[in-house]
Amino acid sequence: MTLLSLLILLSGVFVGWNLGANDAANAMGTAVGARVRTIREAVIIVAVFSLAGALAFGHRVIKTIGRGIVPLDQLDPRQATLIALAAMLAAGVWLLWATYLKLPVSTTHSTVGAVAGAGLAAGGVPIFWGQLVDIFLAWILTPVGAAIVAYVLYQALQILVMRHVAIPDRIWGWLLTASGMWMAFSWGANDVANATGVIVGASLMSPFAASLVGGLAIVLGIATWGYRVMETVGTRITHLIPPMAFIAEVAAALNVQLYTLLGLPVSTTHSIVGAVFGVGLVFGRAAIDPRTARDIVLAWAATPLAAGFVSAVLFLLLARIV
Amino acid sequence: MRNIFGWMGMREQQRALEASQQHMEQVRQVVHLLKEALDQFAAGNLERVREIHEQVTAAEREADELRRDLLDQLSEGMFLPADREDLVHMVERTDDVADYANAASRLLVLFQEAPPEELREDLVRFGQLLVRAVEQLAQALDQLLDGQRRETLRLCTAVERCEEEGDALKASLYRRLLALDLPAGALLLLHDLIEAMENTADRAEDSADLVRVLAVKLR
Repeated sequence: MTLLSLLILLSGVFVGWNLGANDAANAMGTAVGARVRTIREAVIIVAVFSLAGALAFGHRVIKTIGRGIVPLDQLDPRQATLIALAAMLAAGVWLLWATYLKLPVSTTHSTVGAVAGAGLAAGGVPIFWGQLVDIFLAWILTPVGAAIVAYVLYQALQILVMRHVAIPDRIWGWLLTASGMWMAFSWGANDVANATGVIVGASLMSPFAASLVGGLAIVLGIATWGYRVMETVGTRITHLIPPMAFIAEVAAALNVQLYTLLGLPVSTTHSIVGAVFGVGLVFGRAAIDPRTARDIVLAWAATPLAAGFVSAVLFLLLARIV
Repeated sequence: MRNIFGWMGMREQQRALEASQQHMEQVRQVVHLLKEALDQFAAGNLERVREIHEQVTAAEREADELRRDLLDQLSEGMFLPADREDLVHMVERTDDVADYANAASRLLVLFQEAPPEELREDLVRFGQLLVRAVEQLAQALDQLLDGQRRETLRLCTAVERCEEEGDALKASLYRRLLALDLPAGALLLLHDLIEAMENTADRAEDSADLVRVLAVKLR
């Protein structure tokens, strides 16, 4: 393995670690908050199910990121390696910066923007604009779809079940665990591509090996930092009651799972934001303050452009140096 | 933390801090009015004291409403600030500043004549001291919102010094009071007034302590 290949791999592992550290709480934070799972149990559940998701379905989105935006496998190996390296470094740098500034940016948007940015900077490289348009539409539909599904599911749960029977806390505990498992599974399946998609594109690994490496990097992030975030989010920040959390997670997981089957990289974070908003509507609450929503949309729009720009600059620099 | 729930919690924290800044502004107004009432009391303008007291009561009521709104915001959201307990305590203690200032103003209305000459200077100084304490407290909160941790801590210490000065002034006022031959009613009222002013300074210090806690936690 060359030094450049090793750098791509390390950048991918860093992106995977960042994912695990920051986003594990999305799946099981609510179960920890509702005291139905301990942090230790939650960490193990998220680690196991995100890895399982990555191994079972990760290859679908990996192919899109690695070959569907810029056909890295059909390019000259040097050019493909440089594009992959620039994209992974840009995504990693962008995520590091966003984590430092505590900005809610999407890893998916960073990676897709970075791959497209490096491809454009390379010049003469085919860019699959149709695929990019599909991804862009999926990004718009992700929060909207999750909100609608969450709203409908919660109404149905209220009308068909909660009005007739009182569900014991113990059952909610298991339901929350199950929805958290599905959330972790669908998150691992869709997001592992952000870490190792371009590694497959640059033909450095098979899709399965990349899913395994990316999945393990995510597990590393969960084990080293994710539990702290889970503790803070679960016990000190979210105030979702179990039925609310259950439906939000089911809606978000369903949404992400659907896009994974279509091979489209979408933001798990945005799916959750949409689902929580939908559940909040049932309660008649403005779950998300308009200023907060505006900033999420701004981060949504700026992330692919910024990551793409950084990636393009890095590609031009690398092309001169290497 | 880049996590979306964590980020939303931080945003709520920022909103709550901004709301507590509005509340602080109202508390500042109450204390400024109390100082004005004390100045007029020392000058023997008892009618003016009554007029100012009405303004104090209105301003204190407004502060209460802002406090209630803020507590509703902190208890009903789907995403809650991580340090909401400290925020709630800080707002409650700040509100106590306005409550005690209002209590002091209410006592001023009960006096039928100007205070004895020997007490006037210290009463005016106490009013100035309370304004200084609440100004520094408000600045500490402003600096906290701007992320200026060091300056926040310095201002909190300055509020603590004001409280210590308040203790010294209280002792001085008691010494002078005991040396006077006053009717029991006047003595009782003056005693309660001094206590209410000291409590105002004490609560400002308590509030500053909680601003300090937030400054350390929000690093």
